[in-house]
Amino acid sequence: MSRTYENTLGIKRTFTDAAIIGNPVLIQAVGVFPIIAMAVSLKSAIALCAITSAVLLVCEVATSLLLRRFPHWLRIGLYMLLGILVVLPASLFFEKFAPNETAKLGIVLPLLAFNSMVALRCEKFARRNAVGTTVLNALSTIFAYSLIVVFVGAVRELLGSGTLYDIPLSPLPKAAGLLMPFGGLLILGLASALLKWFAARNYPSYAEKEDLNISLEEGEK
Amino acid sequence: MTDENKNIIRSYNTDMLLMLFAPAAVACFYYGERAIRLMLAAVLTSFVCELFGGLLLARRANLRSMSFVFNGLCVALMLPASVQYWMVIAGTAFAVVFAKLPFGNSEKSPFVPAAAGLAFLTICWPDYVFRFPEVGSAYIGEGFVGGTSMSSMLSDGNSINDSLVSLMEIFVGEIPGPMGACCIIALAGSAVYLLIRRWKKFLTALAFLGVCAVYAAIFPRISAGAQLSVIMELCSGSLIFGALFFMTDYYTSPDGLIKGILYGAAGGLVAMLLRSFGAYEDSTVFAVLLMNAVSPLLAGVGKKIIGKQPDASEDVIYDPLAGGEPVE
Repeated sequence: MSRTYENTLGIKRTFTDAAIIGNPVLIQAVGVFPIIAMAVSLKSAIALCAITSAVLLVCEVATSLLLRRFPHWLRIGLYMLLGILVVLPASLFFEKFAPNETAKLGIVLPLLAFNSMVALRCEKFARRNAVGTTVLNALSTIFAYSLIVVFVGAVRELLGSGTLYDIPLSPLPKAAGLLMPFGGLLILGLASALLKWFAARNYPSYAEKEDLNISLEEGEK
Repeated sequence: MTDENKNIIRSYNTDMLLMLFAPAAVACFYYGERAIRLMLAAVLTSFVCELFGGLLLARRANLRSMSFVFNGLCVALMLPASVQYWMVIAGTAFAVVFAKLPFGNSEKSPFVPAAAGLAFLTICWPDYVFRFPEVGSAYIGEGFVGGTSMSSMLSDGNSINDSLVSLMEIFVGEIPGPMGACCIIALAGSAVYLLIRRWKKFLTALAFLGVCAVYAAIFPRISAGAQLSVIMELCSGSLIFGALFFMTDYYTSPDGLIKGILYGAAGGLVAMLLRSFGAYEDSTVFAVLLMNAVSPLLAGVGKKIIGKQPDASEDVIYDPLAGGEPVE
């Protein structure tokens, strides 16, 4: 039913692979919406990383331990339920940590409860692996995701607001357009192009496309 | 890209540059050295960005097509003369780096680069883009004499009167407005050249302006009557400039007659709707970009209306996956 396999790669290799050829945002294009809507400053980016990491870790561990026994149709809903359980206290904390940013975000924060990245990782990996491997996978994904979120948040804050973590830094004129969703898409697109160029040069195995469909394979339930 | 294609593009760009000559000359006439410097800054930025893009993509930049001159000049001419240099540089750099390089640095960009550059400037710094100096006054430094452009009068519902601006001044372009997009006579000259060289593209521009005129006559934003509303709407902002230089772009505007007219007419409607209900005084570039986005959808339309198979060579459909062709 559920296949388990040992992690044959070393820990370091797992992390670099997750950040480069298996990058969740730039290569697999999952979990993009929260970055575009939320990563407009370093502070929000850090909060986004924290919340998403918590949701991902909890969901993956729960899937590996327990949820894989449930049928597919129920599992997807349970990811969302778990996500809400994590996001609710996290968003209350975020409100104290950065009240201005929270007010600006509005609907985006509760929507973090369900993230395509979480569903993909749980269905593709956590369901078929033991807890130890799953935690390692979740951590490497969090590492890769955090890198790109912090990068996008920092670039947008520096160019869009002229500050970095609310400290005025950049003497350049503020390009407020970068704080809008289209600015996030532009930066993500350029970063994605750069990473793909780098991956194609240094990782020949990158050409093998990963299957990103979370519907069931034959013979599974 | 075959040699034949290259030649077509080069001759097309030469036409466009010749058409740009008239508005550029008028800008130099009214704003003097300042206009020349702004245009030089834009063209130089465009040139550097294309060279840099060529290095990045490990392809030789296609500088002989002269599109870098066109992009730079268009961005500069659609801005007020009082604008700072960094804005011209930012707009041109955005146009090339974000609207041209990602699509292979070739001519086949799905969006008109100069329109994208100006749209970026409009979104980021609307105060600077829509603050026009009075013609002939000091327009550099902090204390320049701000003029009231017709697009701001229209968006305020402020009707024109003869003592304020005369029709003659509107036609010769002696009113506050974008550097190169104000002088209607110069633009009319460019339009005549377009009619002689490429009458189908001319009809696209004409359809664009025609729909704008009809819309302005039916739904005037000022209380001084339909006739004045039409004149003011058409001559304000960069409507005619956008129609002549952006709606007629070689790759983004469809090639067939019916398709071209439909494209232009739809663009005119979008431009006027954006002007009436949008956030900015002048939204021509946004209308152009929106029409660029739907342009591939229009490829099959002509066939349905006339009931004949379109010529395969006529359809220039942009395929984002194919990317730009390498330059030999």
